[in-house]
Amino acid sequence: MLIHVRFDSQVRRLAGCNRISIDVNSSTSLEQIVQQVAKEGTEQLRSTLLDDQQSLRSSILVFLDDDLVAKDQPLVLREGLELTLTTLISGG
Amino acid sequence: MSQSIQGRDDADGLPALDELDRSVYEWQMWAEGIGELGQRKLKSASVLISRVGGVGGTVAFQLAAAGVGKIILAHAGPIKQSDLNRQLLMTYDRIGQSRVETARTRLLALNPRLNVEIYDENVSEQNAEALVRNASIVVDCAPLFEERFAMNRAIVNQGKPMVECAMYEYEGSLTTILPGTTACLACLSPIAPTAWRREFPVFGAVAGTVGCLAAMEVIKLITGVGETLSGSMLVMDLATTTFSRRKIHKNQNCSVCKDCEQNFTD
Ligand SMILES: [Zn+2]
Repeated sequence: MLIHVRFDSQVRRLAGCNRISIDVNSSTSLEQIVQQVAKEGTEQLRSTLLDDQQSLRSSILVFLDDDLVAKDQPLVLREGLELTLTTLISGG
Repeated sequence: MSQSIQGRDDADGLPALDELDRSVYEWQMWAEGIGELGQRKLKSASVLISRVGGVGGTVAFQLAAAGVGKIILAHAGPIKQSDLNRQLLMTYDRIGQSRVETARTRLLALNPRLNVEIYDENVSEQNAEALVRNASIVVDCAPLFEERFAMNRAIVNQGKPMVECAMYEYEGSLTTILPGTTACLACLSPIAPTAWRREFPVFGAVAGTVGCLAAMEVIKLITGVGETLSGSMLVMDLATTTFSRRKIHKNQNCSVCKDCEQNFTD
């Protein structure tokens, strides 16, 4: 099934686009989704999203339809679902 | 209502308004839920603002205008030319002079009866607890995550509400942290994002928009009017004029706030 991954703030800058669509199956985990996203992007995007062990960094915020998702929360995936990947910002 | 000689109302401990207060704040006291009681709550409040840059300077200016009684400012260093595209409390003729001294002068020009306490230092692990102790509400506008995390720890330890606001390029974000009730900053991100850099793209109008929204959060916290952003994060993209309100949740394993049991009635 096709899901959409949106990027905000600095992640969007690194991704170079607002949104991509990726093909997943119902058992794909959140971390696997992010790994798949990282494969499509630059090394800087990959290292922002994932650590050296390819694990999702704790500084990445993931929203599912504007609701924050815990990193270990199992996702119920459906066609057309939209995730947002972002980080906190700190400009003042 | 009876007044004590210090101008405090005997019944609720809030400061009384005098004729000048009533004259200056007349139009905002007409706002639903404010009135004389709301204005007295504002006069009674003390707000700590971390940094008086594009966001924090706007917060301070709006709160000084609204009649908050005491504002505590922490920001190290002198004014630089590159501050002047956004730091509206700073002025060209004071380049090289203290930011917080300049901010105090500007705020007192608007509201001479404001109590302004200044610290020519940035928030750190060493001073955060002491700074927070003197405030009833904190507004976090620092450009470094180290400062934000230090402030977050202090407000959680002391159970004080904090308006957490930030911007980047055309984007802004804002939430109100109520320790023990809502997610704290470390619940959302226990470490700084790897991509964050001290220098960031910024327009004054974006920083000022975030600052005005943060000032409204403080006014709502003080007066009890309306609904704060506690439990949600307002995210805005002013390049596309898009606003979204996202739900955020406590992290049960958060090393900063997991043992915090403070409850707010917000
Ligand atoms: Zn927390």
